[in-house]
Amino acid sequence: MSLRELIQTQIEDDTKRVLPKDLTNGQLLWFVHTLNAGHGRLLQSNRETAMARNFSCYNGVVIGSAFFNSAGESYGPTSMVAGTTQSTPTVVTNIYFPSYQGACSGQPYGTGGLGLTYQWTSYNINAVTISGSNAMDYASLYGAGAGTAEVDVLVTDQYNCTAGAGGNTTVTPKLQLTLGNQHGSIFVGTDTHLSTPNSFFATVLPTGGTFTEASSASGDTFAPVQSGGPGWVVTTKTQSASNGDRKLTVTYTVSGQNPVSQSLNVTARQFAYLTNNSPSNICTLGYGTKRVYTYTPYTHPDKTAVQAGIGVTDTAVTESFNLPPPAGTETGSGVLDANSQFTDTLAYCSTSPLPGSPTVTQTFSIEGYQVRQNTLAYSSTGITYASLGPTQ
Amino acid sequence: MRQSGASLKYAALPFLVALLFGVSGVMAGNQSKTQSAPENKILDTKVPEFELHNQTLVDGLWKLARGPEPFAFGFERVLKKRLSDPEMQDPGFSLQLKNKTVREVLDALCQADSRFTWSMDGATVNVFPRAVANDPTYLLNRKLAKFELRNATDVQDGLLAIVHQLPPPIEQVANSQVGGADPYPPEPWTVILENVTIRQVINQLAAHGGPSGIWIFGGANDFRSFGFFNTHPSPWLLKSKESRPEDTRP
Repeated sequence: MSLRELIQTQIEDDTKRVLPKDLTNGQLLWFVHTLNAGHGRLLQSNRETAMARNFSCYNGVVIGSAFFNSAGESYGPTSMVAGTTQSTPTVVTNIYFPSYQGACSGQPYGTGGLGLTYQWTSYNINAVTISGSNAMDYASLYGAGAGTAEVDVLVTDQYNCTAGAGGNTTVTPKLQLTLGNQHGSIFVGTDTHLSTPNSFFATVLPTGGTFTEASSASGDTFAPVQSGGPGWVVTTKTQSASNGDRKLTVTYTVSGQNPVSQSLNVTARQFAYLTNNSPSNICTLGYGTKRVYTYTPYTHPDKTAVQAGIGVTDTAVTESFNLPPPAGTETGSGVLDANSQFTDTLAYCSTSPLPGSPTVTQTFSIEGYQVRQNTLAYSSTGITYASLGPTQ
Repeated sequence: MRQSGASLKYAALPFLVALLFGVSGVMAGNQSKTQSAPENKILDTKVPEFELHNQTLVDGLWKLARGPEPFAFGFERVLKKRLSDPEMQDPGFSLQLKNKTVREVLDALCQADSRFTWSMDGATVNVFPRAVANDPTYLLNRKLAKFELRNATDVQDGLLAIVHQLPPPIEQVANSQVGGADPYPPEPWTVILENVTIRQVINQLAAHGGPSGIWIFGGANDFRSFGFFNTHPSPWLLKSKESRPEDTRP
C-alpha cells in the first residue's frame, strides 16, 4: 500500500475522510485482526536520492482484566454442600494493544490472549479445595468442610501482565441419610431382630457435630446403632396410615454453622397376615399325615409380602392353641428366616394306628400381632388343616 | 465324646462309651475319652444372664440353646403309662443365674427339676429322666450293634430304619409336632453307625438337618412320639428357598 498514493488521489477511508494533500508527517499504527496472522513493514523511499528505509516493530496484545465468561456470568458457585464438587465458570481475559513496549494496558482489542497461565487459589482450604488441576481456565471446587473460602484465579500472559478474578464460596455441612433397607420400610414392634430394617444412617461432613432425631409419629423412639454409625434404630408402635407417610428427620449442627436437616419418608409396616404354600403329605411311617408349610408374612398398610433379605431374620413367630394338641405332640415357636419366611410342620404320623383327637385352633403371631388362625382337626387319619385367615 | 451331668457320672457309665465321629460312613464307639472341641466350646460358654420365671426345664433348655452359643439338644419327657392318662404337669421354677457356663446352667436346671439329668453326646446335649438312665428296655437306651440308613431325605426315614433294625416286635414311634421344622438337605443321606444307642442315633438324625437340631421325645408308653426342630436352619435350606414357592392365599 502506498501512502503517497492515498494522499495524492484523496482516497477516502471507511468514514469518508481523506488525508490532507499537504501531509508530510504523522504517526502510523497498523495491525491485522487475526493475531500473528500478518507481517509487514513501513517502507520510506526517496526516488531523487534513490534511498529507501524500513520502519517496523512488533508488539502483541496483553491482558488487562479477567471476568467469568463473555455473557457476564459472575463467580460461582457461591454456595455448595460439603463433600460435593462444583466447577467455576470459565475465566476470560480482556486484551489490549499495549500503549508502549512493556505496558499492560492500552487500546482495547477484545478478549482472549496468548500463552496465558492460570493459578487458582483457595484461601480457606478447610472449606474449599481445588480439585484436580489448578492451572486451567476453570476450576473444580471441592467442599472440604463447612465455612467460607475466598477463591481467586490469577491469569498471567507471556509478557507477565496479570489479571485476577474470584469470589467467595460458602460450604454448608453435608447430611445424607440412608435407610437400612432398600424398600423404604420400617417395622412396627420392639423385637431387637427388627433393628436391621429399622436402622438408618447418616453420612456427614465435617464430622464432630451434634444430631437430633424426630419422627412424624409421636411415640417413635431412636437409639444409636451398635455399629456403622452415626445411625439410629427407630422403634415404633404405630403403623403407617398410608405408604411412605412416616417422616424421619435428622438435624445436624456443626459449631458455628447453620443446622442442616434431612428427612426420610418410610412406611411403618405392621405384620398383618400370612400366605402359605400347599404342601403334600410326606408321612412315611404308615399312619397319619405330615406336612411342612412355608408361610410368608404380609404387612399393613402396604399389603406387601415382607421382602426376602430385608433383615428380619430371627424375629420371633409365636404360636398358641385354644386347646392342647394331642398328648405326645410337641409344639415349638419359630423365627423368620433370611427369606423373611417361616416353616411350620404339622405332623401326626406314626408306625401304628393313631388315636382320634379333638380339633384345635392354632394361632400365629408376629411381634404380638395375630397374623393367622388355622383349625387342626386330629383324627386317626392325621391332621385336617383349614385356614381361618385373615386374608388381607 | 459323651459327658454326663454331675449326678450321672457313674450311673450312666455304660452309655458313655459309644462315641460318634462325622456324619457319614461308618462311625464307631470307644474312640477316645478326651473331651472334644465342640463339647468344650458349648459347655464352657459363658452365659451372661439366665433367668427363668416359673418356667419348666424344657423352657430353660430352649432358652439356653438359643443363647450366645446355640447348640443342639434332645429332651426326653417322663412318659405317661398310657396315652389316655391325665397329662403330667411339669413343675415350674425360677432361676436367676449370672455369668455361669452352659455346663453350670444345665446342672442348675437338673437340680431344679431333679427328675432329670443331662449328658453330652458329641455336640448334642441330652436331657432325660434319671429314672430311665439305667433301664436297658427304655427305647432310647436300647443299643444297635449296627444302624444302617440309606438314602434318607426326611427324619422319618431314620425313625423307620430304627424300628426295622431293632429286634421284633416292631416298636411304635411317631413324629407328632405342631410348629418348627428340621428338614433334611435334598441330597439323599446314607450313614452306618456301629455300637450306638437309639438316643445317639436320634442325635445324628436331628443333627443332619442342621447344627442346632433339637428333638423332644414324649407321649406315653403306648404312644411314643418325637418332635424335631431347628431354629437355625442350614444355608442349603435358605438357598433352596431363594425362589419362593407360589403362595396360596389363606
